[in-house]
Amino acid sequence: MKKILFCSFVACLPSLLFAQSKFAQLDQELPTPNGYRTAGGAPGSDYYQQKADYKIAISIDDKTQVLSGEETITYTNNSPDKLEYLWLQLDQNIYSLDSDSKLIQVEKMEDFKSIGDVKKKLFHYDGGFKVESITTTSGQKMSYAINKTMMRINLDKALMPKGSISFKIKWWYNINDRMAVGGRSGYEYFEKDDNYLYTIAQFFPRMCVYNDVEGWQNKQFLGKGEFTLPFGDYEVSITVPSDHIIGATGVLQNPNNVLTAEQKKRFEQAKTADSPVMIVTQAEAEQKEKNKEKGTKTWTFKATNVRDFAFASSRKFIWDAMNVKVGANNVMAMSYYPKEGNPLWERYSTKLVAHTIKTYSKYTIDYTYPVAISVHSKWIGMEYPMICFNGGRPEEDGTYSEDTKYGMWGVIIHEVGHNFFPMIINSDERQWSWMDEGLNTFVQYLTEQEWERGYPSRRGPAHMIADYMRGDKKYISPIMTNSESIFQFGNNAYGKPATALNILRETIMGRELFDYAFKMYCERWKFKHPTPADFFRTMEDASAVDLDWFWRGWFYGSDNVDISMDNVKWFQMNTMNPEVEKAIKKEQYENRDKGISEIRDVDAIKQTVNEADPSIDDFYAKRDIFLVDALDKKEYEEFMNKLSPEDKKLLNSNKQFYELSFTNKGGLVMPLIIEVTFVDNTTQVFRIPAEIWRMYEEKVSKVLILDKEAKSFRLDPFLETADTDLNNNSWPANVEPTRYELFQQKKMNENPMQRQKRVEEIKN
Amino acid sequence: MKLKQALLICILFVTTSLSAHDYFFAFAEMKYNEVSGRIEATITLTTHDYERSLRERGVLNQEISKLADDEEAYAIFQADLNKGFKLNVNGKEIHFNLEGIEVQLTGVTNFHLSAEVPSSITKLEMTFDLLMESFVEQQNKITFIYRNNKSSYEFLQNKITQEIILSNE
Repeated sequence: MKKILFCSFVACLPSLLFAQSKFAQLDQELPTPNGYRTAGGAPGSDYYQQKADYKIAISIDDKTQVLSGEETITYTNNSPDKLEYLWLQLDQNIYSLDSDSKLIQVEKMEDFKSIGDVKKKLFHYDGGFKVESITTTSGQKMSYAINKTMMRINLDKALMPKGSISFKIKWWYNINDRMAVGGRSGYEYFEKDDNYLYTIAQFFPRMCVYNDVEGWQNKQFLGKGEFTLPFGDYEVSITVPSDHIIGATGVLQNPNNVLTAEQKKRFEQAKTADSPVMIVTQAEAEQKEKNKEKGTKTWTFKATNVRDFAFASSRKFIWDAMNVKVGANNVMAMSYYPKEGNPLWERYSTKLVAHTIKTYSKYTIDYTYPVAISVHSKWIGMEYPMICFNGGRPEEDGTYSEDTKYGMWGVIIHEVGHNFFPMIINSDERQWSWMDEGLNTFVQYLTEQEWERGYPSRRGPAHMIADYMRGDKKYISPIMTNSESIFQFGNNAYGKPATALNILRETIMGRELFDYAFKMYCERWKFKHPTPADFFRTMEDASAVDLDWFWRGWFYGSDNVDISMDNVKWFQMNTMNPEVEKAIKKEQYENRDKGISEIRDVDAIKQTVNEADPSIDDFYAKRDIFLVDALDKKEYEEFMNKLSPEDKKLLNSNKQFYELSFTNKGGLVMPLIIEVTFVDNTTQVFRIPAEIWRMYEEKVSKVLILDKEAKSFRLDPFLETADTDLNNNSWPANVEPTRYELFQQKKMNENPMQRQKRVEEIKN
Repeated sequence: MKLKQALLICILFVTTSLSAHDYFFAFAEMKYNEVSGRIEATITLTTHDYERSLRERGVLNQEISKLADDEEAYAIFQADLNKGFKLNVNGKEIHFNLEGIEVQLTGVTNFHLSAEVPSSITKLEMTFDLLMESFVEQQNKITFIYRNNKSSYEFLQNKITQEIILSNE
C-alpha cells in the first residue's frame, strides 16, 4: 500500500512542479531590490544618474553634404563609483566601411539574382565619424580608443564621485543620402528643384549611460537596439544656408538673427493660438526654393534636461505652429514640411502633435518640454526629444489614398508619443526595445482611438496579434529578449507588448487599476532610467494584482493563447417535488430513444398476449411508476418542513447547471470569458480569472449556475485574449470563416467607384 | 582562388537598411476546400513593405490601393506572388489565381488567391520567401487549415520551404 502511495506521489510530482511554473513568482528572474531600486518598483533612496551637458557648434555644407562640429562636454559623476575612463557613442560609425552591422547580415547566393541586387549590395559609402581631436578645455590632447561604434576616453586622473570633467571633441562626417542608404537621419534630395532636406541626428559623439544596472552601457550599435543616453542641458549652434529654416530640440535663442520680422510676428501669434498659424507659408517656401541664397546663418537652440538633440534644416520648409495647454505648461506644437507633404501636412500634422501631447499627458505624465515638433521626411518615422521625423507623403498630383492618410496619422502619433517613452521615461533602448516601442505603441492606440472613433489602429487590439503568436515557438522570441536578437522585431517589440498592456487594462486589471498603476510608473520614472523590473513591480505594487504569471507568460515566454471549450454538460436542480419530478421522468421516458425493433413492432405486432389476456398483468405490470401517491406527497411535505424559507426559494428557483470543460492548448494561461446565449436569445457574460489554471494548467472545468436554459456558449466573445484558434471556442461547435471565405462573402462585382457611378445615375 | 574571390564578393555585396520602424512579416492563411477541390489562400502583408519591394525591384512604382482594380497590375501582382508563394502538391507545382486585393486602413493588404489541386492531397511542399530578397529581416508564416485543424509553419531566410504530409484517413 505504501508503495502504491509513493508511486502515485512520484507520478504526480512532474505535474505539480509544472503546475507551479506558470504561476511561480518572478523572484529568480528579477534583480534583487536594493538602495537604487526598491522592491515596489520605485527609485530607491540611493538612486543616482549621471549628467552630460553639451555645448555644440556645427555647420552643414549644403554643397558637399558634410557636417562638421565641435563640442564641449561637461560630464558629472553622480555615482558612488570612481570612473577611470569615459565611454561615448559614435553611432555614425554604423556607416563606416568596416561596420559590424554590414558584416553580420546572413546572406546566400540567391540574394544576388539581378543586376539591381548586385548594384545594391556593391553600394557602399563612408559615413563614419572622422574624429579630428579630443582635448581638455585648455587644449591638451586626451588619449582615446575607438572600438567601432564606441569610444573610450582615458582619464589621466579618475573621475571621483560628485566630480565633473569637461573636454572638447572636433569631428566631421559625410551625411548619408537617406533615400539611397537608409538610416534614421540623413538627407533627402529633391531633384526637381535641386534642394536638400536634412533630418539630422546621432550627429555628435554622445556620452553613454553609466548606472547601477549596467555600469557603462557600451553595447555596440548594430542597427536595431537604439539609444541609451543620459540627461543633460544642451546649447547648440547650427550654421546652415541663410535661407534655411531649422526645427530643433529646444527653444530658439536668437530669433532676431534668423527670422524675418513677419516670421517673428507670426511666431508670437502662434504662441497663444488654438489652431495652427502659418509662420512660413508654402508660397514663401517655394520662392526660397528658386532663389537659393548664398550666405549662411547660425541658429542657436537651448534645451534643458534632455537625453539627446536632433534637428531638421531646409529652405523648402513650410512651418506652422499652435499652442497646447498641458496642465500649467504652454507647449508649442509645430510642424515643418516641404510642399511635397501637402495637402496632408498643413491640414493634420500640428493638430496631431497637439492631440498626442494632450492625450499622452492624460495617461502618463504632463508634457513639460516647451516644444513638440513633427518634421516631414519621406518613408520614415524616427523620434528624438521634442522633435521627430515622419513619413506620409501624398502623390505628386496632390491626391492621397486613405491608407496614406492613416499611415501619416499613425506615424506622427507614434513618433510624437516617443517624447514620453523613452525621451522622458528614459529606458535602455539598446537593451530593451519593448520598453519604449511597446509602451509607446500601447498609448498610441489609446491616442488614435481618441482622435477618431473606430480608428483603424494597426496594433493594440488583442486579436490582431494572433497571427504572430501562433506557430513554432522556436521562432517566436520572448519580449524579454535583447533588441538585436529578436525574431519579428515589429511584432515582438511593438505589437505584443502593446497588446499585452491593452489586455491588462481591459481584461486582467480593469481600467481604473491599470491606469493608476501605469501613471504611477510614469511619474516615478520620468526623467530617470527605469528597467523592466521597475515596470513589472510598479504595476503590481500600485494595483494589488499579482501579475507575475502574466509577465512570465507574455514577457518571458513565447507560448500562445489557445484555450478550447471541449464539452458542456447540463444538469437541473432536483426540486424534490414528486409532482414536478415524476412528470419530468415521464416525459423523459416517453421521449427516450427507441430501438428500431420497438418502433416497427408497434404496427407489426397487432396484439400481445398480455394485451389480449388481462390475467397476465400482475402488480408490477399494472402499477404507474409516474403516479404521485400519498407516500410521495407525505415525504415531500416532511422534506419541505425541514427547509428554511431561503432554502425553499433556492429549491424552487429552477436553476440550470452547466459544467464547461476547457483545455489550454497554447500554453499561455488567460482568464476564461464566457458568453452564454439563452433560449430566449438574451446573453450573459462570465469572467473567470486566469488563476483558475493555477493548479491545473492543462485542463479545467467550471460549473455555471444559470437562471434560464442556455442554448450556446462562446469563449472570448469580445476577442480580448488573443486566442489563436477561434474554431474551438464555441459550443455547439462553430467554425470561423477564413479570410478568403469572408472576402468571397462580401465580394462585389463592381468596385466602389463603379457603384458610386450607379448612385449618381439614380440621382440624375 | 575562386573561393577567395567568391568570399570577397560576398563581403562587398553586403548592405544594410536602417529604417527605424519596419515590419517585415507576411502571413498566409491557407485552406484546402474539399468541396471545390481548391486551395484557398489569403496573403497578408504590410502594404508599405510590399510597395517598397515592388518599387526597388522595378516591378511597380505606385500605391497598391490605386491598382486594386487594374487588370494589368493584377497580372503583375499574380506573377509576383506566385514567385514568392509557391505550392507543390503531390510533387506537382500549382499556380495561384489572384482573385482579389483588399488594402486595409490598418496598413496591411490582403491578397486573396486560389488554385485547383488534385482531389487527394498527400504531400504539400510550401515555399514562402515573399519579400525576403528585399528585406533581410523578412520572416513569413503560413497557417494551414485542413479539415478544421490548424497548423502553422515559419519561413525564415535560411528556411524557405516546409513540407506537410497529409493523412487522408
